[in-house]
Amino acid sequence: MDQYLEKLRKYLSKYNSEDAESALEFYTDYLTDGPFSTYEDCVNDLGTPKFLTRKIMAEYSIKKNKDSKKSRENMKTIWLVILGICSTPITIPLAVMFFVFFVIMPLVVFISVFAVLLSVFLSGIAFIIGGLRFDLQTILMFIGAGLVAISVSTMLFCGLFWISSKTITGIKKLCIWAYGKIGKRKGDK
Amino acid sequence: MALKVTTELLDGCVLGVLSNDDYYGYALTQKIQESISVSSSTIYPVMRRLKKQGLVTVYDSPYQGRNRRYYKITDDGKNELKQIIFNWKEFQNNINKLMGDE
Repeated sequence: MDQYLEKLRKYLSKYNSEDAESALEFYTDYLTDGPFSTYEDCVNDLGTPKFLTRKIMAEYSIKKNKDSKKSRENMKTIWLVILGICSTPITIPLAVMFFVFFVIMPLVVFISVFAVLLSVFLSGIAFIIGGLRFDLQTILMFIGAGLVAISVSTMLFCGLFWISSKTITGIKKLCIWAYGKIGKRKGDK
Repeated sequence: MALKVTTELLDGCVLGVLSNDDYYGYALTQKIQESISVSSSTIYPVMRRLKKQGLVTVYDSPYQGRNRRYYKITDDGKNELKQIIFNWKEFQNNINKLMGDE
């Protein structure tokens, strides 16, 4: 039992929240009061310390972030939910699919769009500088074209970030929903 | 029991048990598991939520040289329980109407 609690403490300590402390108190009480002497007894009732930690932290994070719009917090929720889903062997393929669809793919799309916009922006600057060696009319034309490229790409940058934050919020909601489905099925059996 | 218990019903079950007596974590879990099949690890998040909403309070009481944490229902908790019971009865009636009541 002490071994179980020690491991639980170790996993929970990574999260550095007051909630980890109260969870540890609860389970120390719980295991002391119940007929759990060996490590295996504890695992049979509560699952492995890792599983229990994920369960505690995933639900904690979902609750805390339900109304938050901060992307970093959202990313954390997405990660915790994916880890939570991973904690049963059956759902690992599902988790991998989740990961590919909702983490890798949006990331790739984001990076490629970002790269395209950056190149348009830089070519705008290059146009202005490059145009300087011609006569006045050509210079003006190049400056005009360059400014258009810079302004259009800047506007699209704003759009890209806006869409990204919406997407992350959307994925977070989907993750919470998926966790509800999967978590319930495996958690309450 | 084969049917899944929703979060609201689980809250209601916990509040219902606590409306009869104060319980400590392990005894409460046992009591709930006597009647419905929920995993032991689901009880803690429920207690945390109920406590945060002010529906239950905790106090420590000495037991065999250590402090044991007890959960106690609050007045808000009792009102919430009434509401959940009301919702449950309505739900039950409607389901019975559709399925046929034996």
